[in-house]
Amino acid sequence: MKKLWALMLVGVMMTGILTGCSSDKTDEISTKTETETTTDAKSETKAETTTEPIAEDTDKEAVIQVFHYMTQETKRTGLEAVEAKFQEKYPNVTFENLFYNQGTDYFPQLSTALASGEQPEVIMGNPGLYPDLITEGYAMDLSDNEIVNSLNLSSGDLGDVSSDGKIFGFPIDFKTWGVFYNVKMFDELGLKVPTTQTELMEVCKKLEEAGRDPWIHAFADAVFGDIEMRNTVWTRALQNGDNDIFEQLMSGDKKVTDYTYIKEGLEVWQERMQWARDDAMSNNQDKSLELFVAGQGAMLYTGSWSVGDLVAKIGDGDFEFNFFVAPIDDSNSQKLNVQVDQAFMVNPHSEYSDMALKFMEFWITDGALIWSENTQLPLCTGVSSDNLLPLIKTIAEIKGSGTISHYGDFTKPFSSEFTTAWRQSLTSFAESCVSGGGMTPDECLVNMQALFDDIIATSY
Amino acid sequence: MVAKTRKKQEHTHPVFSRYNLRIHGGNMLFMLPALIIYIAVVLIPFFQGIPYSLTNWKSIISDKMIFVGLKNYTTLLTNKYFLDTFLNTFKFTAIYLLGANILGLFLAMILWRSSRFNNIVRTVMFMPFTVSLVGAAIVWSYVYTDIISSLFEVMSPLGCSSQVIGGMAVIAIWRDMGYCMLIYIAGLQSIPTEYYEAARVDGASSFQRIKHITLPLLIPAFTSNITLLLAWGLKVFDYPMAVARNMEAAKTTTMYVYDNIFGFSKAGLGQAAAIITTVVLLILTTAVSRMFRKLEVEA
Repeated sequence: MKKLWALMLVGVMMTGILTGCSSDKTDEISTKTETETTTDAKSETKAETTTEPIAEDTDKEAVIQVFHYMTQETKRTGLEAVEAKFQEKYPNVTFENLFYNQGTDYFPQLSTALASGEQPEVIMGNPGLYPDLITEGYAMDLSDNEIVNSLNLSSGDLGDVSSDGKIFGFPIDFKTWGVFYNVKMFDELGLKVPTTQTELMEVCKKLEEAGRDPWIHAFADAVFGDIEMRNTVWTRALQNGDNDIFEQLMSGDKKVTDYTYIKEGLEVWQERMQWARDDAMSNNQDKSLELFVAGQGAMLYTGSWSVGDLVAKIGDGDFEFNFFVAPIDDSNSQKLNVQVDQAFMVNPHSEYSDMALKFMEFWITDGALIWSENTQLPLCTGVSSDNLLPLIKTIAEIKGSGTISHYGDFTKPFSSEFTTAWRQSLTSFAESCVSGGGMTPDECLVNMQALFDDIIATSY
Repeated sequence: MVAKTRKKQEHTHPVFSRYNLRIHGGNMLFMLPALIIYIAVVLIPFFQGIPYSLTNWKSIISDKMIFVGLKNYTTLLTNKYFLDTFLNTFKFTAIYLLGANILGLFLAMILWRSSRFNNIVRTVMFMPFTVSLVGAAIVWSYVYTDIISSLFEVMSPLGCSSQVIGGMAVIAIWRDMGYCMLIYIAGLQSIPTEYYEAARVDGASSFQRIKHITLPLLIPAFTSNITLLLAWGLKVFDYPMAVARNMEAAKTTTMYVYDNIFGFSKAGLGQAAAIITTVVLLILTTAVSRMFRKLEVEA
């Protein structure tokens, strides 16, 4: 009897498994469950329509899936605001925003989704950074798009969203980086904004003498070592006509030591790191902003993408900050670095690619200011409003003047593998400087080249 | 003194004999659902992956690939960076395995008798095991930066190449020692008290009782804990991914696999690395498991 029960139980379990594999209905259930689980993990947010719809040419229903890596809360809010505005025109359109962290799992998740047949409508990213998407046809060619062509975007902005001379992305806003400083602390100590490296070092010394930490660092996020180097490397490379520096390094035709300004950049950065705190290696971006707002350090080297979060962290608090481009020498030759920040591709294979195209055209035109005011990010188009911080307006004006180093003016960007290697060697250098490890800029370059050589050797 | 070596059962019946089917058939049927799932989600994908490891497959969103034979394997086995990831993984596994087992055993020795206090403490010690790996890692990253660094004015181990493996291992030990403790408690409770009484009558000291009764009879618990933690340690991924993504010194083999397959468009190479990792894991866990099984004794 016992055996009979056991056999019956096994039979039931087996039937459960087999039907789970074959039944259509169960398939539906399991798909739904999977979607729900994934949705949780991906922090899905759905924009909701709150206003009366404006009559428009279409009442077509569409679900636009936006794959993005907007880490900052303000950006996600900005995205929802743009979507809500679009929904006023197209009330039957709904959005599904899928968020992943760019530094860890954005592209892996995206490529897994694409490989399994999912087709998101809008894909965030600069096309040059994701060449596989271009070669496999997951980005619509926008070279003849009337809206994009009517915006008179700079060659750098268009270069940042192009691949092999064709435009594949909508450039929404741009980012820059440099030194954000505590205005009150500078005023109290009578410090002036430095324009040369020597002046910056003097400022650091005065802060130290006054018992203040000159810098807050966030090297737990690899981008922070990278941006500290860019000012020297990009500016010098474009000055010297080395627009193909990244292409040459990736092909192995040139070595990092062939570009003397990479070492120069390391030396300039090393000087700044004399005043690094013990937590420099373990702070991430968020933590560094908290420390900066709490007045624990006078300066923070970060990007304009932090402004929204910085303002949110200040809230009603009594904290004022401003920005200057970090000097790279004593000749005042630093330039504002510019790179397209939010760029989006439209997937031509997706079910609602036509509506997604309309959405992106809306975002870059009518929706642009909504985005900019929500995120405090300067627009590529140069459009501005009184609701933007004066700092953001100033940055936009500098870009408009053309005295900038634009990433889009390089022939090719670093691939993700080279970017990782570049950042890893810079992080090791930073760690050595912070902990007194004694790594020299030359040793850093040797490590960096070894990583590059390995990438080239394993690419066949 | 008490324990005697287990004698191997001698089977005179062929594996698929009616006798064996009658004796073990029911058990096998119970195992079948799990076996089918295991075959479908582990074994088949593993064998399906082997052909890809012999190609230069770039991106998983592309179908283009060229057969390169064993080139991926020879490249990896002579590649400094890949071998470094193995070294990092082994270091992590060694610290984690020893730490979690020693502390788990120590806790079990203290808490194995049932009492209200012991039950509460056991629950508290086991609770970290219910926390997700990423959650544990993130909480500890704040413990390191906001508490330990502030109190002792030292750098967080997660930001220091020479300490990052140890720092991650501490998180893993904190999380899993409660699990080890439970297995050891189950092992301790299954040892008949008569053995200890007899040993006491024979004049055995506490140390002798532990050495000759407790430890030999705990071997099955050691087998379970050590084999399992060895496997968990060798495939560590979440901790470095969550809190030491940029540290070269924290890069483990599974991260190497992940980066190459998904991030760097070197899916063929990454697949070969995955297969090497799996084979090493299989060999080590099998060897350790067999070694402990040989030491097992019957009460």
